[in-house]
Amino acid sequence: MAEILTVDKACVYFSIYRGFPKKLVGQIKAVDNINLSIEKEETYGIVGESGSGKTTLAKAIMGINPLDHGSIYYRHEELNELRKRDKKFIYRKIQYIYQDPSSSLDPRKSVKDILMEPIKVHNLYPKEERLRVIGEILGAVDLPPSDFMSRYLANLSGGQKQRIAIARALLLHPDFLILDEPTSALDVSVQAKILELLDSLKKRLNLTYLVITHDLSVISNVTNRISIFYLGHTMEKGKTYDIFREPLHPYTKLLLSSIPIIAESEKKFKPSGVPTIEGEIPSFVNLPKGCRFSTRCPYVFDKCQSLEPEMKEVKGGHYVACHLY
Amino acid sequence: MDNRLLSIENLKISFDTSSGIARVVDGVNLELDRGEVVTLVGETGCGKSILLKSILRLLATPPSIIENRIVFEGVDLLSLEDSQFIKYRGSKISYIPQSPQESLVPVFTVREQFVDLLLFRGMKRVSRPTYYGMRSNKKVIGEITEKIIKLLRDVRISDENLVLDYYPFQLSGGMAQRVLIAMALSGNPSLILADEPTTALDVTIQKQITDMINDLRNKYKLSILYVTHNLGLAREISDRVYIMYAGKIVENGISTGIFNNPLHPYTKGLLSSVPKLSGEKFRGIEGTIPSYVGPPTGCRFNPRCPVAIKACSEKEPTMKEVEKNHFVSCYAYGGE
Amino acid sequence: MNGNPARERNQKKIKRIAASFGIGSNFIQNIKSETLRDRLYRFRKSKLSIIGLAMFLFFVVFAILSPFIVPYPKEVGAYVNFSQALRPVSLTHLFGTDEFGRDIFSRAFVGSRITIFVGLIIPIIGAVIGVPLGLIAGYVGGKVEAAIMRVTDVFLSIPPLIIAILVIGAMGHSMTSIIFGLSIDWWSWYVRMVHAETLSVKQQNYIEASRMLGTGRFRIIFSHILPNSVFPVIVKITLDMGYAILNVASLGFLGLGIYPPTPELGAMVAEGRLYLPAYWWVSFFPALIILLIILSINFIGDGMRDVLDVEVT
Repeated sequence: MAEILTVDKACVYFSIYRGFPKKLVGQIKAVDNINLSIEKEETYGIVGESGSGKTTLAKAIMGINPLDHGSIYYRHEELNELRKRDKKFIYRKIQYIYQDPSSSLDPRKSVKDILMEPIKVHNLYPKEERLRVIGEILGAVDLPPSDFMSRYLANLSGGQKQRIAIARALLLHPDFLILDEPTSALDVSVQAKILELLDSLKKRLNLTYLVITHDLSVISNVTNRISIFYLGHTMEKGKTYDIFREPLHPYTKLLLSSIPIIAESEKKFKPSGVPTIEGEIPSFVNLPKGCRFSTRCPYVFDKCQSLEPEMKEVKGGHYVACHLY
Repeated sequence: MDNRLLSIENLKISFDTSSGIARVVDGVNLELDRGEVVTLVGETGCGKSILLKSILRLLATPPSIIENRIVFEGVDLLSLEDSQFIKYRGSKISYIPQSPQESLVPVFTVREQFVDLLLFRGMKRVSRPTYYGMRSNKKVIGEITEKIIKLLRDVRISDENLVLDYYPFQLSGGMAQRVLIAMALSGNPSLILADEPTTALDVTIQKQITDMINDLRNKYKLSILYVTHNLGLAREISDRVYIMYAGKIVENGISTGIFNNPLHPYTKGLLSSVPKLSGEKFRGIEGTIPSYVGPPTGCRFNPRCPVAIKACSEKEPTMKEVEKNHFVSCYAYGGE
Repeated sequence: MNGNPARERNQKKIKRIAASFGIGSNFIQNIKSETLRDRLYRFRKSKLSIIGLAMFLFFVVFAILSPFIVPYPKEVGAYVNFSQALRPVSLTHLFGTDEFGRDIFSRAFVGSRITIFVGLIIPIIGAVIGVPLGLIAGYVGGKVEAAIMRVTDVFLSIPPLIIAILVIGAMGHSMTSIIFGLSIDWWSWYVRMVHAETLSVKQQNYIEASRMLGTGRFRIIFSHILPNSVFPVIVKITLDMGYAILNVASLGFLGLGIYPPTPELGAMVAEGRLYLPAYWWVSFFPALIILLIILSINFIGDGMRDVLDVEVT
C-alpha cells in the first residue's frame, strides 16, 4: 500500500528565554526525532500521556508548529516547503479534529455559519448550492438539518458539537484526518456513538485517520498500527494487535497494566506481573540521561542511565527502543 | 456501635431558574457503612457532584433548595446550624477535589497552606493577634510540621521537606493530588468524599493514586464515597456501586453484582459503551440526557430505553431487590 | 416566566455556582441556555436599568422635539427682556429666568441637544477608530503591535480635556472642533481594551481551528475575534457616553463650548455662577439636567454590564 504521510526525523523545539535582554537558557524538545509512516486508508494511533509530544507533532503536521529539524511529507510533498497557495490547497486534504468541541467552535456562531466558513474561505460551491451542501453534510453526521441548521452552540450537547466539528472538516473533502483525542471530552455512551460514526465515514469516504489519545482501550479497538510516545520519543511501534498481545517496552507494559477494566474476562488481555512503580513523569527541563524512562523503569540497569537506546526491529514491523532487546 | 455511617434519605435538590424549577437530584437514597468504599457512577450532568457538594453544604441556598435528610453518624446534617456544621466540614467529613492544581492557593507554599489548615480548621473567624501569635509559636509549628511530614509520607511523597516549600505551580498534577489527599486525611475524617480525584491525571499516575488510596483505606479503615464516571475505576476500588441517571439512582448493589450481572437498561448500555481490550464490539446509548426542567414523566430513562413499555412513561418504578444486595428500579424486574 | 424577583437575582449566581462545580456546559445547558431573549429578560427585570432607559429616552425625545414644545422657543437664542430678568421658579417660568430674562426651562432643553448629541457621537467615533487598531495590534503582534500600542500610550497619558482645549484654541469654537478635540484622544482606551481582549480570544482553539481551515487573517479578525470581544466595547460605549457628556459640559463651563447666545448646558451653569447663591436656579437646573442624563446613562450601563456579563474598568 502507498504511504500517505511520512514523518522523517521530525523535531519540534520550544526555546526558553529568560532575563533582559532575552537570553536563551534552554530548549524543550517536545518532539525529538520522530519517525512515522502512515499508509493510505489505515488508522494510525499515537498513544502517550500528557507532555509526550503527541499533540505537538500533530500540530507540526498541520503547519501550526514549525519543525526545527527533519521533514514531513504528504503524498511525497514536503509540507514545510510549500508555497502559500499550494499550502492552502494541500491543507484542504488534511483536517484536524480537536479534543474539546466546545472550544474549537466559535461560540457566537450558528451551526450554519460554522459550516459556511470553510466553503466561503475556499470558495467551493456556487452560492445557491451552498445551503443544500451544508444540509447534506449535517445528514452525513446524523444530525437532521432542519433541526440543527440555525441552532447556536449553547443549545447543543457535547456529542452534537463534535459531530458539527467533524462535518466542518469533511466539507473540504479531506482524505487524511487527524483526530486529537476525539472523544475524551465526551461521556462514554456518546463516545461509542462518535467512534461508530467515524468508522462508517472512513469506510464510505476512504479516509485515513491519525488518532491521538491517551485512552488505550479506545486505541486498541480502532487502530491498525500504533506508536507509543514518552517525553517526545517513540518507545515502541508496530501493529496494534502485536503490541497489545505482546508489549515489549516496560513503559508499554506499565501503560497497559494501568487500564481500569470493567470485567474479569478482560484481565487476560493485560500484561501480568508488572511491578507498580512510583515516581512522576520527569519534566522536559531536566530530562534524565540515557533512556528517558529510566527514572521510572522497574527493569533499569547501568546502560539505561548512560546511553539512549536505538530503535530496533524485534519482529516483523514491531519496533522497540529499549536496551533489554 | 452503629455501623451505618451515612444515610441519605429521599434527598431532593432543585434549582430555581428562569425557565422553572430544575430538579437536579430527585429522591436519592444512599447508604454507606463504616469502612466501606461506595462509588456513585454517572455521566456528565447526572447530578453526582451536586449530591456530593450538598453533603458538605457547599451549595448556596438559595438558589438551591435541599429537602429531606442527610444523616451522618446519627445526626441530620441538614437540620444543623452553620455554627454546628462547621465542626463536620473538613474534619469529620473531608473532601478530595477533581482538579488538584486549581484547588491549592497559588500564592502560598504547601507548608503555609497546610499549617493554616491544621491550626485554624473549624474556626469561624480568627483575630489578627491570635493568627500571628499561633503562626509564630515555634513549638506548635514544630509539632505541626512533624505531623505534616508524616502525612506526606503516608501519601508517598518521598522528598517531603522539599515539597513543603513548593508553590502549587511547582507540583505536578499527581503530586498536587497527593498533597490534597494528605490534607483530607489530616483531620482524621470518618468519611472522605472524593469527587473524580483522578480524572485530570494520566493513566499511570491515576493507577498510582488509586493504589495508594486503596492502601490508605486498609491502613486507616477509611470510609469513602467516591464519585466517578469511569466504570473500570469504580469496579476496581469499590465495595458497592450506585448508578445514577438524571438525578435518580437507577441501580445499586455490591460491585461484583453490578458488573457481572447488570440489570437496568441504562447500566447495560453504559457497560456496553466501554471499549474492551478483547475487541468485543461496543455501542453507545441513543439520545441525550434530558432537561431537568420538565424531565420525562415516569422513569427518566424511558425516552432512551430500548425496552421501554407503556408503564415506563406513566409512573416511576420502585426500587426492588432482585438478588441479594442488588437493587434496581425498572419494570422489567418487577418494579411497581 | 413572571413575577419572581428572587429568581431573577439568582440567575447569575446559579450559573457561577454551576460553573464552579466543574459540571460543565451540559448541566448549565439543562438549567438554562443563555439566548438573547434571556439576556433581554434579565435587563427588563433590573429595575434601575429600566428607570435609566426611560429617563434617557425621555431626555432624548424631549431634546429632539424641544424647539417645538418648549413654552418660549423665541427666548432660546439672542433675546433680551430685562423686565423679566432673574425671576424665580414659578408656573410661568418653571425653572425661573436668567439675567437677560430668558426662560431657563426652554433654554436648558434646547441646550441639551448639543450636549447629548456630542456625548453620543464621541464614544462611537472613539470605538470606530480604536477597535480595529486594537484588533490589529492584538492579532498581528510584533512590530505592528509595538507601534500601535506605544502611540496609544502617548495619547493615554494626556488628559482628553487638555487636548480638546488645545484643539478648540487652534480651530475656533464650533461643534466640529469640540467633537474633533474630544475624539482625538478618546479612541486610545478602546485600543487598550480591545487589544487585551484580542490577546485572550486569540489563544482559543476555535481561532487555531479556523487557521487550520485556511481562513485568512482578515476574516479571522473580523468574523471571529471581533464578535467575541465586542461585549466589553458595547458596555464601555454606554458608560463613556456619560463621561463624554460631562466633558462637553466642562468645556462649555470653561467658556470653550459653542459661543453664546446658543444655549449649552455647561455654559449655562457657568453663567449662573455669578448669581449664586441668591439666584440659584440659574445654575441649578442646567446642572440638574446634566446630572440626570449622566445618571440615567450609568444605570443603563450597569444593566448592560449585567446582561452581557463582562467586567469593564
